[in-house]
Amino acid sequence: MIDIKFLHGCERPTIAVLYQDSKESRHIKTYQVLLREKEFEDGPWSQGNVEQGSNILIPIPEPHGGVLVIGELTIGYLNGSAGGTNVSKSIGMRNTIMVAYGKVDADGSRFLLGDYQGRLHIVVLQHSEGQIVELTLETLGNTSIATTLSYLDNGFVFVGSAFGDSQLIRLQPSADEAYVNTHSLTHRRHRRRLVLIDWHYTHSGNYVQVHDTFLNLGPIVDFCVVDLERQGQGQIVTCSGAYKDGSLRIIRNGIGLNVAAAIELPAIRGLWALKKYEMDDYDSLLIAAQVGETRIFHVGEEWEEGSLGGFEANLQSLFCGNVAHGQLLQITSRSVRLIAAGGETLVTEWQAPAGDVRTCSLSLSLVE
Amino acid sequence: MFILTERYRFCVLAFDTIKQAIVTKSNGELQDRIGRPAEAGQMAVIDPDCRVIGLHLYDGLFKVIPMDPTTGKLEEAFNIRYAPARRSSRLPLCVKGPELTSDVPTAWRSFV
Repeated sequence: MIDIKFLHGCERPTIAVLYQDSKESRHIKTYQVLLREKEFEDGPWSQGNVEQGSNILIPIPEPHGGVLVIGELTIGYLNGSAGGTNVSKSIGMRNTIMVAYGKVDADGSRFLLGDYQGRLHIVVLQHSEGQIVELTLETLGNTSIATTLSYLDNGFVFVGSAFGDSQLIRLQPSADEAYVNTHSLTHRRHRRRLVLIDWHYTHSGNYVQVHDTFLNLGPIVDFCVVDLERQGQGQIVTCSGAYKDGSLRIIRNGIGLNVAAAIELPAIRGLWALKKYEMDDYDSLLIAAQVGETRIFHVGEEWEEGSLGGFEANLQSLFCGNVAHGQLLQITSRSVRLIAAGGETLVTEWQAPAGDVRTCSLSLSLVE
Repeated sequence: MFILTERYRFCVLAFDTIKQAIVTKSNGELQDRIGRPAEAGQMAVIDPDCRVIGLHLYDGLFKVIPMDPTTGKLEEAFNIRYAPARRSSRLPLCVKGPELTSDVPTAWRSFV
């Protein structure tokens, strides 16, 4: 038993089974699962002696149905109906072993295939008049050795890898962007097909662009602890990954930071996180003091720079914070401003008698 | 989401939109008292029309969990026995290789 898949579009649950016999030949059989009788009944079709290296079955959704049989030298499409003739199409490929697949379109006309060397391929089922007429296979580029392939949207694909770092990649429609654009303007309705044609015409390019990688130390087959700097802080050197994704990795004790968002702000003199309202679970305002001005950022799912009526934006802040009764406080070089909860309205303001305020200190209920 | 562990336990998880949480719809054990663990590894497949979950856990047995396509409720599992592909009668054989100097690991060759 090498692979089992349920077929699409069958009246009763039907499985296709890829198995090997005692002579090491591989065959495909279909069975219907009879729930009441609790037994199998022969399915609509079967195919003996498929390629010897066949190892994956991919069920094709409706309206076509049937399966793709992935081998080491060929990819075949098989389908059939009870008593009818079997449909079969196949193409050859460079000798490889496919280890993962992922569906691109809901109708199952394109599938991504990942091989054991981390090459990413796409197989296209071309159909006309409801019949699959031709299969084509293109190599798209290199990724980590895939364990799973999940097509997300807009050309983004998650490549889950057990042997290397998992990746979020984007498939470029073509090596030459301009070519696609000019053509898609004139043939907007056929854009998807054109993109496919592009994949056919340009052979040299790498269509894979890595957007993000997700660290994976496993499988760790060996490791040792070293203290290179002789400071008593041992480092672990691991033999991580396998095959082409094998690597030596150094693991140190420490803290890693992930940048969630970044805004360019020169010469920050002070930075305060505030709650807009007392009941808020999290700080929602970030106030940055710069020379001669104060900038306010609303922090949430997204960052946004904005203004709040209660705050003086044209002076440098010396302090901003939450104080008693849910109120907010801003101290600038000219005045102390007490602002109502929400930050929109000024409650009261104390003007410095003369000159600039240079320093201030305060406790929650007391300002000096 | 159907999850099967190597130790033959399974669960079905779903996202409850009202509670905004992942909930366990059902769980249980699928271990049989007899049977040889599947040589090709465990396989689990789900009917595209959600009528059954099929499992290949033991050689020669195909386990079926019937499912209600609308509610997703699972019914009692049963096994279907099928004629397995005949196994080669030859057993894997290990033969010790020639003895080498003591600080080099002894080489083993295996014939199938």
